[in-house]
Amino acid sequence: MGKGGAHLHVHSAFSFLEGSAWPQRLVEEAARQGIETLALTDLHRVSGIVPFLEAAERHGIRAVVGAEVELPEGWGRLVLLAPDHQGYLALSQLLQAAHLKHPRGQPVVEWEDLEQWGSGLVALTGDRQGVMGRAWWSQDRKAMVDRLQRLTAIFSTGKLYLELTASHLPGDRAFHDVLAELSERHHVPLIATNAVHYPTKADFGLFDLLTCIRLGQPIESVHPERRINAENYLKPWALMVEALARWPQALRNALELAERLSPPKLLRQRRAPRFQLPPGADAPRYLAQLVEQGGRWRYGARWPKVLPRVQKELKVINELGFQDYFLVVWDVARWARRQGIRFAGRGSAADSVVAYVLGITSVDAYARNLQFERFMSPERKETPDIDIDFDARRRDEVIAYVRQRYGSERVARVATYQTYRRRLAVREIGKVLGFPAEELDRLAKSLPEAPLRVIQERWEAIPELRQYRESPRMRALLRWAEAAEGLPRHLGTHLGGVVISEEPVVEVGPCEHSAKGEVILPFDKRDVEQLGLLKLDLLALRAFTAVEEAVGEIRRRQPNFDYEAIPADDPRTYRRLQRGESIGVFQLESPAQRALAQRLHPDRWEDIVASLALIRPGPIKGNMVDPFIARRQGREPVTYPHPDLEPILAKTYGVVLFQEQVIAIASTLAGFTPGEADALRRVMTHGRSHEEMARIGEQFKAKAIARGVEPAVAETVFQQLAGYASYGFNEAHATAFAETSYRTAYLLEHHPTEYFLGLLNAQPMGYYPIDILLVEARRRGIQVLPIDINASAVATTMPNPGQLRLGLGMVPGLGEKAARIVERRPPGGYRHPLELVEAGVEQDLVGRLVRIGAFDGVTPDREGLLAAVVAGDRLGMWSLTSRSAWSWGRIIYWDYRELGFGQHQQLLAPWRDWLTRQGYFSVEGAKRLKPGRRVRMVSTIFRPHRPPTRSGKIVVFLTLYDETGVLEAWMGPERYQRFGQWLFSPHSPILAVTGRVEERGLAVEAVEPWRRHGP
Amino acid sequence: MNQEGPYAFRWQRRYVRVAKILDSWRDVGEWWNAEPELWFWRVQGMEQGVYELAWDPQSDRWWLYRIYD
Repeated sequence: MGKGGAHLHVHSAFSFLEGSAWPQRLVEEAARQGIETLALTDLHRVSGIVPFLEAAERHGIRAVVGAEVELPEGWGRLVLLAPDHQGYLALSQLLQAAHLKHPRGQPVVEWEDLEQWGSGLVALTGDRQGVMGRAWWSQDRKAMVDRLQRLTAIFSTGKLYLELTASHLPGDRAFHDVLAELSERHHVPLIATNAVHYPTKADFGLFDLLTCIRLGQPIESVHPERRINAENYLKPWALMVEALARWPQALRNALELAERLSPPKLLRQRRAPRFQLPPGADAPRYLAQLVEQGGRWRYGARWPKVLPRVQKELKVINELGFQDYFLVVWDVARWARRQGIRFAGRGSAADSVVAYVLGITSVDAYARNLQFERFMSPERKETPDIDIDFDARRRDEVIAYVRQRYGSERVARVATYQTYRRRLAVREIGKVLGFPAEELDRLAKSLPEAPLRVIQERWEAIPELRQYRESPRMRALLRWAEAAEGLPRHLGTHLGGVVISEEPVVEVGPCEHSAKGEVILPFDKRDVEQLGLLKLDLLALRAFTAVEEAVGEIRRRQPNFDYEAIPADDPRTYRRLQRGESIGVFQLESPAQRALAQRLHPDRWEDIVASLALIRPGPIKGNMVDPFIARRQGREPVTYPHPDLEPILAKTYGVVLFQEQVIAIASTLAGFTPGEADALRRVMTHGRSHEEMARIGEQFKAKAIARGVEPAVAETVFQQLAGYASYGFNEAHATAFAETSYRTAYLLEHHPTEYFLGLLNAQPMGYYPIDILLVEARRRGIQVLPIDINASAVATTMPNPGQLRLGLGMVPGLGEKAARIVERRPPGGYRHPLELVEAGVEQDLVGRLVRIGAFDGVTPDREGLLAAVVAGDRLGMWSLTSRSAWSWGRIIYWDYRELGFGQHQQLLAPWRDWLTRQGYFSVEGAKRLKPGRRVRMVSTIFRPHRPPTRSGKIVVFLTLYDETGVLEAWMGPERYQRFGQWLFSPHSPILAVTGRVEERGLAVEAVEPWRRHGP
Repeated sequence: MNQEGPYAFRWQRRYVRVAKILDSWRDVGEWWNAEPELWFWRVQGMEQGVYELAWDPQSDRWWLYRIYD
């Protein structure tokens, strides 16, 4: 019988709800059992093949790639195996046709495609869902024969098998007898499989829960598609032999077929496209020529000084064969620039002077002495990542250009694997287990930002979860949700990932439609790299949209305004940042950034770069922020463990803040090659094992000592690196972002109305919601005019200086109809809401427009208008009067309910006098008090969160706001234990808060829901 | 029990020899309520009666689950 065994019908979690394990987990289990051949046959998909092939290589298992597919006319499923690389290409073509010819999520393999591509494949007839199983369970023996004959016409001898599964299901004996009879009569061999859906018997529970999620039914209900037993696991071959003892030839055939199959050649290939060069040119020379031109553009007379660095970079680029990659990206950047699309390269690409002179990035890596090795090094040999942010509104134009340039069959969007996060897992599994929807909602919203394993371990320390203690059902729910956490749930589209391939993309994998109708390659970012594709990250950045909108508005009144020429040392801009008044500024608006600015007092460019790197979990946990500020402000001496480190660390006052500094230190002090130094940086950054850290530490010290460094100094420096490097941030990235941060701060300071217009028109973006942006705008003296059916455009507009008119585009659900309303507006304006219904706007949307006061300009009698809309009564409006106008409380209530923000004023504004009389402070009032004063406030709360802290204790940070402004607050661990449930449960966002005023906000002592007994 | 399943069983002082195993399957029942997995055999006795036998492999307990008349 042969040892080992072969499982040729296996589903992973990439069968989405029809498999419960990652491919690598299946491979590990197969290896544990000594299985020699393992196929991956996910439903209509090969998304799991990269981790599958990698794991199989690691474990020495023969990997076979395949898929299970649905045939037309309700025939059922067929398992298709790719016998070799050519077979994989056929499988990919067939799957792609199945996806692209049918609506998203309902792929079917058409006969014509099976006939065209099937001959290169091996087919198994599947289990009970298979082509034979469906006919058998319909008691249609004739159909079984007909199907077999049709399939034998497509799959030649030795390429079609009748599948016997060791599923131990009722009726298997009779079904297997019939298959055996057909096998003999039609000379189609039998084959043994186990139609695997999970690795071990113990994993059945999760699989059954996922099945219930798929079928949309509770666990107690019976459904023919649910398995009654836990037998579809990766069964040890001895048990397969036992279960199918009556059919030894089926077992033998499985092993024999396995011997004939081999994995496709997909890993370690290079499929990057060649850039289309001018006649007679070669890529290295053409690139050098472009770099020369760009160098003179960027550096002018300084270019000869920069040249050695550029030559060094070009040498690495050419050695690694990435000339075409740079040319492709240069071409995209050039095209975007010519179209006037705002963009900027981000990430480690900004470490490259070549990228800078090619106009891909705007960070002068030479002037900043950034380490190219952080971006690329000969030792690393990985495709470098060049990420470019584009104005969000125009990013798709760039992708369309790439498609047109390289051919749509060679370009695809990259997928993301949308995985089960803890909340989704709790909601979906809880529903199956019969938990009421409200309870699940409450629980899901209460879950802190931590893996479910940690949450379960620390259950008692989380106040909002304590109410569920002692509930075995709840424990079971969390245990199963933990098992599901991280598993792929469905495919999504990567934010900006686009792949370009030398060959048609279908030769790498089958494309399918995304929810938006784009063509996506169903592999994620990591997997496309492993498949050797060239990946571009063409990201949509809404901050650029805000900038474009604001700049356009400024230029209407100030045509010579030049955003690129904004002075880099504007004192008013820095003063705004120092006050922490930077809500709306790119990357510098979060509470943590504003608090940092109030302590750091940035007054130069480098401070902004450092700020962007400092407010990250690492530096905060690593206690880097306080020493940095102390040194920056001269309260602590700036020291260097070795004089050679001064040029590297001077810009960060002796503190190792950037990843590039780690590389530079390792090269300077220990003589590491740039690639070795980057390897050191990566070991540290990724928090590898103590052993690995110790080993690299010994290497560092030995090399440094050999170069004459004192052993104690070498030790100190390494300890510093080890302590800080894991928190280090990419300086190039921080620098690239700093430019937009500073410039948007300038716009906020000098052109607030235009900039708020930009922010509102680029929503959703940034940290704060529209409601807070409007509070800030009003605080800056900007008059905010509400949405008006006859005065609003689709976008927010600026009718006069210092005035914003909110746009119809802000009304949820209106979408493209907003444009229609504006286009069809009669010369005298709309006079009745029913005119919109006639223009094709749904009645409920028209009702929404009335409730938010869009027709107040026609008549303030919203109630009367609503009645007229419901009754379809055009004449009804003549009976309306202004006497029945709504109260402020009601107006604001409907604003928040329909829009989520107050158009006229913030939610608490109408209560202010009453609140003041009751002794409650406003935000502005509390801010004016001296530190130490205790206050009572009624505030709207926004984004309570529990970030990691150095001590590991839970501190809650939250934003309090009302119509007078924004106040950052925090609640210590003990208070959190007492009051946490009010912050994280889905109660009203308005709380009565008691606390102590401190320098940078409010230390909250107590909270409770606000019970309005007021006017 | 042999490799295929039970070859005889005793029930209410009757001894039934299995002539043929008609079907066999396994069932995990309400696993979420900690029900055990049971193995089932539908058998035909020498006297032509048809029975369903169930076995709990964990406790090694047997049941005559159903008699077809």
